[in-house]
Amino acid sequence: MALAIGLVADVSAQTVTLNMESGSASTDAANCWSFQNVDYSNSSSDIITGSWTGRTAQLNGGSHYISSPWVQNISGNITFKHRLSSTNQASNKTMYLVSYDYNAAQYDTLYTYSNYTSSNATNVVSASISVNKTGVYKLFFSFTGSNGSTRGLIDDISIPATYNSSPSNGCVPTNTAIDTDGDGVADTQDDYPNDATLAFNNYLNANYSTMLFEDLWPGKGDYDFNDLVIDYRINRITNANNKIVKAQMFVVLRAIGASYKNGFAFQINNLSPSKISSVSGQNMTESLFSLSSNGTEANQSYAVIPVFDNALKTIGYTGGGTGVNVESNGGTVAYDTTTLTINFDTSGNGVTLSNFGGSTFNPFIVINQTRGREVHKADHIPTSLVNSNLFGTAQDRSNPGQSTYYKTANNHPWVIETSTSIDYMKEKNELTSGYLKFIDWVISGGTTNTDWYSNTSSGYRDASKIY
Amino acid sequence: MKIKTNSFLAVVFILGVSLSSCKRDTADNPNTNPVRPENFEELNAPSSFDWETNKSVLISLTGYSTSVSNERGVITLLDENENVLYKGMHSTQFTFEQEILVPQSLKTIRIKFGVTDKVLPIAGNAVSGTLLPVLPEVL
Repeated sequence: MALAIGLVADVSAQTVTLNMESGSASTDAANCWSFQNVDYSNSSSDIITGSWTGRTAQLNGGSHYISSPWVQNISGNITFKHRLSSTNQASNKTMYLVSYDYNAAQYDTLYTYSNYTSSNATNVVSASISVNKTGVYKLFFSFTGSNGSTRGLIDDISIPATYNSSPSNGCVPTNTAIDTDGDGVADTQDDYPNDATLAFNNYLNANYSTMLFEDLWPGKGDYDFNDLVIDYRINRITNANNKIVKAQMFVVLRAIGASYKNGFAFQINNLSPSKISSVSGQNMTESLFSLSSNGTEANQSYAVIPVFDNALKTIGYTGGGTGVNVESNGGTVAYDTTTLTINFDTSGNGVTLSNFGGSTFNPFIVINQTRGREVHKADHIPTSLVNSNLFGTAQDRSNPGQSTYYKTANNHPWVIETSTSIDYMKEKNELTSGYLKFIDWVISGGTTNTDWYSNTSSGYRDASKIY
Repeated sequence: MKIKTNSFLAVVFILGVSLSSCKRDTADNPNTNPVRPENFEELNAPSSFDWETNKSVLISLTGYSTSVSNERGVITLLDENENVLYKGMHSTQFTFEQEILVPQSLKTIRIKFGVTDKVLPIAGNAVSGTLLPVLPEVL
């Protein structure tokens, strides 16, 4: 790090320096120095002082400069050392120091050196320019020239001014970013610029995901994975301290390839129910879930949030048959979208994105109004209210002692999830018959054919099997 | 006759062990399965297979010191389609660590912080590097 601020009370006496001894232009760029066709060299033939020197590309056209961070109130002598790397075509090379006034948007040339000759171009020139400027400035140390292979060399830059850049905010001048709500996040970066309690949208999944359920657990199903088809997306809204203030969950109920009255909920693993302040938007018509006053399910160790308790009522299907939106000539209704708003307790350590992230989000269905008969994704833990007597029965091979859940002897699941919304299967058609690369994806352990669900090229799907 | 019986039993035993070994290999490492399954029923999945096309990735980016104390700014992670995967405040001098959920097919993560705007590869379930910017090569 070659940047320093003098430790004196009088800000006018501070200095901003760059001596290249970090050996890394990237390191100094992170502190708001900027480099245009300039890098650092430790070649002995280039060194001006120390172990590293700034070196331009060959000066045969184009821009070559180092620009300083924004500085405030320049008062005193700006000093630096410069020379050329060789005498080749030296006479048409020029070195400039130019200031840029942030408020006036004006350039001012402070120094011009065009006295390089074939005899002195490699001699070090120690420049010292007296400057008195009030305001916010950036300084450009620039070399120009045409033809030849010589390079400009520069070292030991010292600016008598106060450092005034914000490295983590794009190096804009300090205190110039507009922050209407005063939460410390500039309006240009704040997703909620007028609300100090909210700052960022953080979607758990970048796009709507699709969950495909079989609902005969602990018995295996018919592998059409359309007994319940749900799309969802979750926005976890954080504040300027990266704590989740509230979450919005958008749940689209698309199809029900079954006659069971299934419920849908999710658990946030390891999160106490007390961390939830309130839940709104739940679609409750039965007595399947017993809710606490904060909207979470009662008698749970971790926060469990029911979304709806009867899929058939939620989607509004009143016809006969055993399926909704799964057969070409069967019952059809419009998709239902449930929007859940979950408010979190922000006191204490609050809730982080890791607390409610991909590893802890644990959705499940409850089969046909039997509370203990819940089905999760493979190897996802059940809730406190599962009927554990069902583990290991029928085709289920869950083994809580080995943290193995919701898989058959062949490791088949009852739930499949895709990272984007996909078309689902027509009734009684195996998933493998519609998505022709699915088997290859599975037997590869998920390493090949990762686009089995999204690729519509020939050979990837049999559209006649897909709804 | 006894020798022949013993030999026969030995062959049966060895054959049995061999076959059971083959079966275990096939279940745990399905790439060795000589016959491609035709349907779900025939499918043997690896025991660790999670049946999701998402995966969790741990992002770990070393910070850097600045001349400004307690410098904080917005760090943004994006996918190849400019979808925001994470957005939050971060103090420059600290290592940034965050687990995010991404599609298995995603190969890179774009990182924007301060003047840094760069793309890093996803290696398995991790992305590691620094928060420093990448400067163009000077020839």
